Amino acid sequence: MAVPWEVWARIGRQWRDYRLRRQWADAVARVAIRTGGLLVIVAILGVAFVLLAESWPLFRSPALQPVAVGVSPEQAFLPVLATTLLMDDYGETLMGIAPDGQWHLLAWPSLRRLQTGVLMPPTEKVDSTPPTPSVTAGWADPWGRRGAVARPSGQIWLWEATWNWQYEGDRRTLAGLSVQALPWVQVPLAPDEAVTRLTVLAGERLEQTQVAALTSRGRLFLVVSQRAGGLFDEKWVPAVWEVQPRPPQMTALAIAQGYLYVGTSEGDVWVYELQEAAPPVRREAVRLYPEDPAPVTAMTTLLGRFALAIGDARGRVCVAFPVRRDEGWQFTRVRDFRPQDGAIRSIVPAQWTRGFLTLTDRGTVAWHHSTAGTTRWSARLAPTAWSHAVIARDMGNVLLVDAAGRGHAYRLRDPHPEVSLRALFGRVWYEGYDRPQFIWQSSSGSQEFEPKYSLVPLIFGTLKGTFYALIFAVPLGLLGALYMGQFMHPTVRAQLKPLIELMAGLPSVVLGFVAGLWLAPRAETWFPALLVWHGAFLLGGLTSPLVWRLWPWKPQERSRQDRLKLVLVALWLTALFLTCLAFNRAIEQVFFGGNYHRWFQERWGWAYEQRNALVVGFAMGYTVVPIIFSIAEEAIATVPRDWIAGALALGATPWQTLRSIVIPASLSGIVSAVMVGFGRAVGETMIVLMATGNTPVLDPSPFVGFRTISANLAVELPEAAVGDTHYRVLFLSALLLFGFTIVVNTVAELLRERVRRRYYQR
Amino acid sequence: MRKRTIPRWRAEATPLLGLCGASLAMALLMTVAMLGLIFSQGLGLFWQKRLVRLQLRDGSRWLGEVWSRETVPDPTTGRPVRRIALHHGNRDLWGTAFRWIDEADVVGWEYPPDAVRIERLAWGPAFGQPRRVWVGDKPFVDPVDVRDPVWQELFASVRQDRRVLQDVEDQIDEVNDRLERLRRQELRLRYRSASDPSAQAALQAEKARWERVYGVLALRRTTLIERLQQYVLEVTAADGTALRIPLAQITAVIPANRMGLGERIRLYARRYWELITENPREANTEGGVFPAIFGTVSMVLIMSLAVVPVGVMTALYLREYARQNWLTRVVRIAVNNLAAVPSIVYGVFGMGFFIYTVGTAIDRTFYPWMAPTPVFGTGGLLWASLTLALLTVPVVIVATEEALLAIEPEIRHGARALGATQWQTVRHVILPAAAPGVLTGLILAIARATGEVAPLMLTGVVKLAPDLPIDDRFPFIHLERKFMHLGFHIYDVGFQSPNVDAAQPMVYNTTLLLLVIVVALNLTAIHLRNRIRRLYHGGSM
Repeated sequence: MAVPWEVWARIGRQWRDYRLRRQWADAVARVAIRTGGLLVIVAILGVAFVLLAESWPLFRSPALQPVAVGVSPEQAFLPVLATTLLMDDYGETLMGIAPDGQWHLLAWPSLRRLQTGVLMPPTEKVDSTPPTPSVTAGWADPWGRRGAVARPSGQIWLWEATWNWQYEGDRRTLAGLSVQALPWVQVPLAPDEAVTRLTVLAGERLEQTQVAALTSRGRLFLVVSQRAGGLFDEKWVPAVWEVQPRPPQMTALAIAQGYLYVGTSEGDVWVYELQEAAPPVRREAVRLYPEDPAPVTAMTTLLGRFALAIGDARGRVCVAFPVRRDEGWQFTRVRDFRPQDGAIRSIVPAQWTRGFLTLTDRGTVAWHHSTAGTTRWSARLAPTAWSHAVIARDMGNVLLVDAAGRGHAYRLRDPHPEVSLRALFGRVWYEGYDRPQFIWQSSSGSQEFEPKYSLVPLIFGTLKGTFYALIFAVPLGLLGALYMGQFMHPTVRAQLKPLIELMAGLPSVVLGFVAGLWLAPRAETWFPALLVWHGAFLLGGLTSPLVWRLWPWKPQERSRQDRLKLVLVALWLTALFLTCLAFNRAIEQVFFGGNYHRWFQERWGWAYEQRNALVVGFAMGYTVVPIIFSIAEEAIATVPRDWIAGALALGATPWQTLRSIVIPASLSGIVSAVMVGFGRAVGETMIVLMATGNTPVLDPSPFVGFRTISANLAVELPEAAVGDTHYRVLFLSALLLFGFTIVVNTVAELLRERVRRRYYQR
Repeated sequence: MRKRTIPRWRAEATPLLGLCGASLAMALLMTVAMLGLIFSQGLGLFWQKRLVRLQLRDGSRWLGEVWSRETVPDPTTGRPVRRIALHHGNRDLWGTAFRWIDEADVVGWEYPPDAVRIERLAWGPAFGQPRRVWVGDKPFVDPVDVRDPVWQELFASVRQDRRVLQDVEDQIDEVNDRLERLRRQELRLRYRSASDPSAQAALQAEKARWERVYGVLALRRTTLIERLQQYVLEVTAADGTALRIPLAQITAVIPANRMGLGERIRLYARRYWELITENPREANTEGGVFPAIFGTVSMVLIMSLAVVPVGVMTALYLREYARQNWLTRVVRIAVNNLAAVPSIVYGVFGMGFFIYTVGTAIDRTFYPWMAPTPVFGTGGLLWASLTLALLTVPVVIVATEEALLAIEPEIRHGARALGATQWQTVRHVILPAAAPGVLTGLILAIARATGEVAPLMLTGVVKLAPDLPIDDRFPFIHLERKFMHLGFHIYDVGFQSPNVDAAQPMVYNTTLLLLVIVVALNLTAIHLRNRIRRLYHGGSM
């Protein structure tokens, strides 16, 4: 809509009219400044909001939702063995091997048949199709895209599926699936015996696979490939071993790195150690629930092939792995999950994380995560039993297979499964450790690495650094402020304040640099002297009035006296300090038997690191001193002069005035000063980065470094992938830091405001 | 009632007061000591020491500069041992540049007059005695004396050639920049899928033209380099090895044992000049820090543009416009909190909000053809400046507020009584009077921003930026570019560099530079503020 000319004209007239114009300007300025003033609140809220928004998805609850597509009933019946199902990287297609020796490629979620072929070694001719039924059992290893099938003759074939994707710009098309088969080894079977169950651990190459096979007569065979040949014509030759002694009733099988696990109907897990060129040796038989055993019904290795997820006939689910004890590795039940309402039929591991699905015979599906130690989601999805499932590598596309062999498409949404409150703040028993621990170890090169996101070591490091900074800074800052605020001539005060402000203005990167490169090596040499220096400082401080009394030439003016006093004390302290340094060796001899490293190691078990908590504490304390100092000084300066004058007039000494008037009156200001100093120390980054070893350890020793939340952010956030769990956990730690300082600082500010209002009344 | 006397020592508690005084003295002492330490450590490192040749007991000989001496207990006997840190250079020969030598092992000290320190573009300095200059495989100047006019003329001509080479390289840079622009244009055309063959063809022709120019320049560069590489200086290292250094690699030959005081002072000044004007070399451990200074300054300037209006507006709101009520209390608490939030949290915020929210949105809207290469969706000058603006805005607010508070209410009332609107009062009376206060705040904010490193590590600072953020190519100010920063330079060179010992002069002097800037800014601000206070309070405060 066009604005009528008259309106423009009116605006123009008004603009030309000076009085109106200035009123306009006034109104506009008023609105602009009001908004500008409130921008600060917006900024604070904005910071909080961004941190919250980035870390919030960590705690969103997961869901397994059915994918509604019209799957016709005849399509829903899968033509293939459920245990041979594999899904491609993008979760778009499935493949599996049918009992008649054919493989099929199916679309997800419609289960339409896309391609079919015969599992055939490359040398054999296609027309010599083997007679049906030609496969008695099969297994697919989702990590290797490989598997094995057993033929009726007892021959085991390995196979490997390759999806031939073609990329054209952003578009991706599937040109087809090729399945390579390798006749591998013959298991010595009796005439009426057949392999009924297989489990596979794929190696780096197809021939490096390990297979365990259970027969209809209850015999267990293990096929291990062994290296043969030289360095350049390396070959892998399979060897078949019958596993002895074998448990009576075998109900579940799993191969992990170096071990074969067999679950029994008595609730035991038998552990066999795989050997080079020898049959596997039974290491132990572990009863999972000694007080109440039930048959083990499902087992699988998790990502990393180290830990096992185990389910039993009562619906109990646990994770177990070998733990190193004094007497060797012991297979240990490490953590339990929420029990399910029926016998566990199958456990399906996820390929990108240590999560797994459990399926029961009552139609319940649950999604658990090992590191997080929680059952993240569970529901009864069908009235009948489930038999198996397959999960896509990243997308969360899932196909559940029921006992009748029908496929059901689901989608699992859980971007950050490894995070739970327990994983962030509790002790977690990580794979390869001998007990539950707090560990921060966010990433490594390997995909199979178990990320350890315990924030406790970082919080501990933050508090440790703050503690050492404050024990150094609080006395110095507060006592100094008391002296300056109470006993110093205003002229001298005005002259010294800039020096303190300069101290506050020193960049922390400079302090970190000095602490890390200059101080740390020297502190190691001078440690005994520096230790004694604390006592010497106390002594020197207490005796400093004596020095003043003995000093013969005293000026008349108060201000000059104050200045001279300060110089004298400084000289006195310097002299004492140099004396300490000079006697460094002697002190070490007397107190530490000549070597303080050894002394502390033997007495306290503390090893001395060069860049340690004391050095950082000193440097951080240095940044905190001026903050505590200036806020406390301000609080002391606001105590009404007449109160002090009154006390002095009544005959109180300066010390008595200080103790009973000044300190009580400015107490909240002093507390606020310490709190602000605390807030500052908590967030210090560069000094920690430069002057500690920066290792996230939980060690109270003052001679060991630490890593704070802030330093961790500076080091790891630039490397973290956006939207990743690691990224979000880092944002969460930033949120913690932010919330913490906001709370401390707001309380301190309210305290300070109280002081101001009490004395100023304005 | 029994009269209770308090003993005098308890009433006066003089020792405790002494302790308070000692704490204050200690705090001041530490500040002075810290400044003194950096200055004394830093200032000495650029001074050219004499080159010493040490003859050791085991027959080996080392030539170099004595870096420091210290006394350490012997690890086996525990007796104190004096040892020397010798900077012997020639890292290309021996793999290291430093060595601790027990003074007891030294049997001979001498200062060979013809020993030189050679500054070069790679491998750190070389120490030795120059022998001759080769051209190809023929001796050209033999023997060579670095004080000889023949050598000086030769060296000058090589430097002239190198300057030409530098020119050519600058031109190549320019051409590369053109080609990069053309590539972007091409991406843009392709993205719009405007099947405009004429535009495509024009682009291709342009591209071909610049590629031809590039070819010519590259050829020229190769010939120049070949010519330069012919001249080789042969130096005898301390152990007698002949070290052959192409003249093109040499930036200076310093006859350290034959220099007078004047020459030494000139060299010392030149090294500082190089520090502030040259580009870094060799993983930042040599050369200068010019790009870091430049990056710091540009960041601070852009930050100032953002921080002053917001800070002044907030202060005006608090002091001139708002009634003092709960809202102003909340604003005040917010300002205070803004000042107290750890700087790294701002970095995290800058990364989450500016880079990954605003930046990616800008990329999606304005640079979709660049995908997946981020333009604004990655750390850069603008985002770092804005992050620091957020960090420093409380400083400006507090300083401005103080200045506003110092203006007597009568002045305001006078202006209003004369019929000025509030805005007119603010604009023509209050703001001019408060200007020094605003300036103080700005200077303090700049001082803070200059020293702040942690948030920059998340929002766009890099250890080595190929281009300056402001240059002579359109659009002149490249807000999306990554930049270098003095504080980060210290962290990077001092703690991330593979050769920390060799980096010491660099890192100490960068620290010194940063410290001088920050201290100068702070002192200016303090001085300015004291003047304002004196102006309005008429006395000490």
